[in-house]
Formats: sequence, structure tokens, C-alpha cells
Amino acid sequence: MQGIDQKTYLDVFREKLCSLQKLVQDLERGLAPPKPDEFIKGLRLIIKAVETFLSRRMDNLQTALEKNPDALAAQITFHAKVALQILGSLHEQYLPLLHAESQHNEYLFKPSIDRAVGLFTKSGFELTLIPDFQYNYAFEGKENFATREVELLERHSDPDTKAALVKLRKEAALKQWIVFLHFPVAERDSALKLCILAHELGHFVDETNKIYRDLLPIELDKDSFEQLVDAKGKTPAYGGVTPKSAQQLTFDTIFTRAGVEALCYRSCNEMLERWIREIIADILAAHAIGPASYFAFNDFLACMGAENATSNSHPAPAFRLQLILKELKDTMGYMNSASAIDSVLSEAIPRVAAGAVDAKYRDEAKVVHKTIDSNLASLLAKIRPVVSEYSFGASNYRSTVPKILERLRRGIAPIEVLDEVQGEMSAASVVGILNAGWELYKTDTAGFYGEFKDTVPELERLGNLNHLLFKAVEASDVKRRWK
Amino acid sequence: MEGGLQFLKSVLEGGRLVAARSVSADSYKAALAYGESVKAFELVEQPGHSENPTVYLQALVNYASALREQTGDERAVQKLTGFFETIRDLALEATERPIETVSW
Repeated sequence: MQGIDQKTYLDVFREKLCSLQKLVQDLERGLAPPKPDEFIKGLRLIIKAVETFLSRRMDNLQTALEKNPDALAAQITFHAKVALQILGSLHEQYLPLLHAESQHNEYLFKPSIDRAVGLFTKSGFELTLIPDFQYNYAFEGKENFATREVELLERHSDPDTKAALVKLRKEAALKQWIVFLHFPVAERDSALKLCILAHELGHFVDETNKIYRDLLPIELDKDSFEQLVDAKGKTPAYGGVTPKSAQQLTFDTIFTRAGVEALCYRSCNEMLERWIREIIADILAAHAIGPASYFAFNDFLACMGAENATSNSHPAPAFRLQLILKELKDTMGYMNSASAIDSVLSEAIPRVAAGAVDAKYRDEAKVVHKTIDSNLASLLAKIRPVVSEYSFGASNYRSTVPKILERLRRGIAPIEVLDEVQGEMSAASVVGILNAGWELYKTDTAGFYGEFKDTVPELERLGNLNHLLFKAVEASDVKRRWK
Repeated sequence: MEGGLQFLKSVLEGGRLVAARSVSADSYKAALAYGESVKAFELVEQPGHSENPTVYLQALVNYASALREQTGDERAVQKLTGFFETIRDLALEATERPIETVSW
């Protein structure tokens, strides 16, 4: 108790509820269509459920504890605090997403992304692109986000309140997935750089197809795990200055061996899951958009100024680049000709391999790296079937990209290309358009830039390439839809 | 009691997974429950006793099963109360919500 009376709690609850309702309404007004209707519906469901929960609990408590005012006050305070904390989380976690959406420009990619995701998932979803001031790409998938919050309240409700909450939840009938893809706002005008979104979509495909779960169980590498437990046990447990006469406290002296093992296992488990999920998304993206995934990732890492180091969430960059290149070469048939694209990719192999060898693995990262290394072939064999039907292999590349590239080189948005079998113009493949863009950018910028007047700055010429790509992606999808 | 027993069984499963170094779909949650239970063991039982928490954790499962079957005694209630109160305190300590953040 902080010495705050129950009336204050109830007053601030009503005020907070009202201000959040108004905020959702104002933010919704500021959104351009298509609006994230499902997300907004979910937010309103949570707010309504919290209001229902508290008012019904209050009625119930007032009847049950009529003769015990102290217990009644304590219970009202407790329930109001729970309700206030849920509203606080809503404010903190969900409303920034709604606000960020109001900042977006036109998303020419969005229909293509929706179409691509629809190929891989049967679940209902609403996908939203969020420009972010964090220089990062991110996938944020919320499965049944609003109904889960309401179900939590149901578990702590009396039968009548529970029935009211169940009714609210069922009436809302929300889509299963609300997905947010975050991208750096500075890259909003670069169709080339936004190809990283294919990796983020890979995370969504992983979630909906339960790919990670299908790869389990995996046994952590024995030797490196035991080394980690030994080392962790000897780690000083007190960060301050220990008097010379005192014995240095270590994990071993404070915790049991079982406790240290549990601690190490948990951190390895978490890191293994995250790293494997990154590998899944990398492999799915490599198959889905071919060499464009490698180039986009390569340039993104450079743009980040990223070190070739592991983190709790990601394997070493060079390891991932090597994995993508190997997939393109060994499974998808790239790098077996003298074509411009194969040459650029082949040149990268020794450089990336040297980087992968150089990467340092310590502690948990060593356990996880060794575990993945010894299971990699079987992991990849289980990931590939998910995307094999839509894999953009070398033969696909050869049959689609050159025709698109030819138009792009001449400064024409490659919206449609001649379908030689049908003998008519048909919508250009979105993946083909993106790969043509990357091939032009990586192999012949001089030729493309040469089409412009000398007075046009170089980066403006690159901007034109990106505009052509955006236009082609959007218009080819329109043509595909209205054929 | 059913919820408590279920938790204790997932704790034992967590212990088995840690010993086998086996990562499965729900292993993180089970290992988290096991890790917190080992902490509770270290706080309420371990000083001066065995290093191995398995016997203690298995005994808790037996106490909980006995209480569910209405054959438990006062000792079972005390042991379970001590364990779950420690687990609750550890959880509360871990979920501090700052009322202000200050950085410079």
C-alpha cells in the first residue's frame, strides 16, 4: 500500500480509460486508408473488457464484502490497480504502433507483400508497415493479442463477469494475426533496401507454419556446455571491491551446481531459438527473392556499420551471409555461369568465408554455434520444403530478369514483359523486378547513370532507379489484379 | 491444487530437459520454472543439505498429490506453502516497474 485511498484509484482509472478511448479515436482519424481496422478493433476490445471487468468486479465485491469495509477497500484497490496496469501496458506497447502508422507514406509494396504472405499462411492476418526512427528492421507478430489480454481477465473473474467478457471477446471476432513490419524511416524511398522485408516476412511464415517447432528437439553441444557451466561457476558473483582478506564469492559458492546449470541452459536455449529463427528467415528470404536477399542484407549490414560479432539475438553476420550464398549456390543453382549476376555472387564467396572463419564465439554463443553447426544440414533440409514451390532459383532468374533488366536500363518502369508462350504482354514478376534492380545497381550503375544529363546528381539518379522499381512493383500488381 | 501440481510437474520436466541438454518447443518455460524452483530450494532447503534439488522437488510433487487426494498432513502444507511463497517473492522481485527513468 502506498497510502493512496480507493477513491483516488477509481477516479484515476476512469480518467485514464477516457483519455485512452479518446486517444485511439484521434489516432484513428489521423490514419490514411487502408486503416489497420483489426488492430483498432482489438485495442477497443481490450479497453472495453477492462472497463467491464472492473465495474462488474466492484458490484460483486460490494455485495460479497458489504459487512467488511476494510477488506472491501483492499479488494477494490487491488482490482483497480490491476485494471490500471493493463491500461498502462496498452498505452506503452500498442498506442505507439498506432501513432507510427499515421506517419507513413504510400506503401507501394504493400499489396505485393499481402499477396506473398497469403501464399504461405492460411490464418487471417492484418499486416502493417511501420516507419521507425530506430535504424533497424523488425518483425512484430501478435497472435490473438486482444483476446489473450481478455482471457487473462476472465481467469480472475467471477462467473458473471467472465460470461460478460467471453461475450465481448466472441463478438469482436478478430483476425488471428496482427503483424507489424518495422523499417528505418530513412529507407522509405529505397525499393532496393526494403528487400530486407523479405527476411522479416520469413519470421511471419515461420510463426504461422511452426517451422521452428518442427526442427526440435535439438541437443545442446555437450563439451562446450560443460565448459560454460564450469566457467560460469567460477565467475565472481560480487561486482564491488572485495577486501583482500575476504574470500572471493563466485556463482559456485552461492548457487548449487544444478542452479548454475539451469541458468546456463536457459540462456543457451533462448539464444539457440533466436539464432535458428534467424536462419529460418534468411533461408526463406533467399528462396523467396533470390540474390536480392543477399545484396539487400549485405548492404544493410554495411549501412549499420555492424561488427562481425554475435549477439544474443543474431548469429555472426558473416556466418549468415555465407549461409545465404551457399544456399544460392548449392541448392538454387546460382554461380555456375559467367553471367554478370553469377560473377558478382561468386566474387563474394571467399570474402564472406574468411569473415565466417574470423567470427569469435564465446560462452553461450560457442555452445549455440557448435550446436547449430553439427545440426545445420538437417535443419536446412527441414526448412526448404516450406518454400520450395516458390523458390526463385537460377532458371527462374534467367527466364524473367533479363527481359525486365533490358527495360530498366532504358529508364522504363518494367511493369509488363512479353510472355513468349502466350504471345502477349503480361505483368512482370515482382521478384524479377527487384532482382533486376539489384543486378543493375551492382553491375552497371555507370551504364544506367549515363542515361541522365550530367547536371543530375548521382544519388538522384539512384533515386530514379528506386522510383522506377516502386512504380513497376505497384503497377504490375494492379495489372495482375485487374487482368 | 491442480494448478500447483501442474507447475511442479513442469518443474521436474524442466530438470529432466536441463540434465539432457535437450531443447524442445516448451523447454524454455519448463527450464525457467525449474531454475526458479532451484533458487527456492537454495533459499529454503539447501543450506547444510544436499546439492541436488531433485529429491526436494519430487517430494513437493508427492506432497501436492497427497493433498489433492486429501491424504496430506500439516508438514505437506508447510513445505508447499514455503516453496510457493518463495517462488512468488522471486517473481515479484523480478517484475519491478519503474515509475520514472532518468538518463544522462
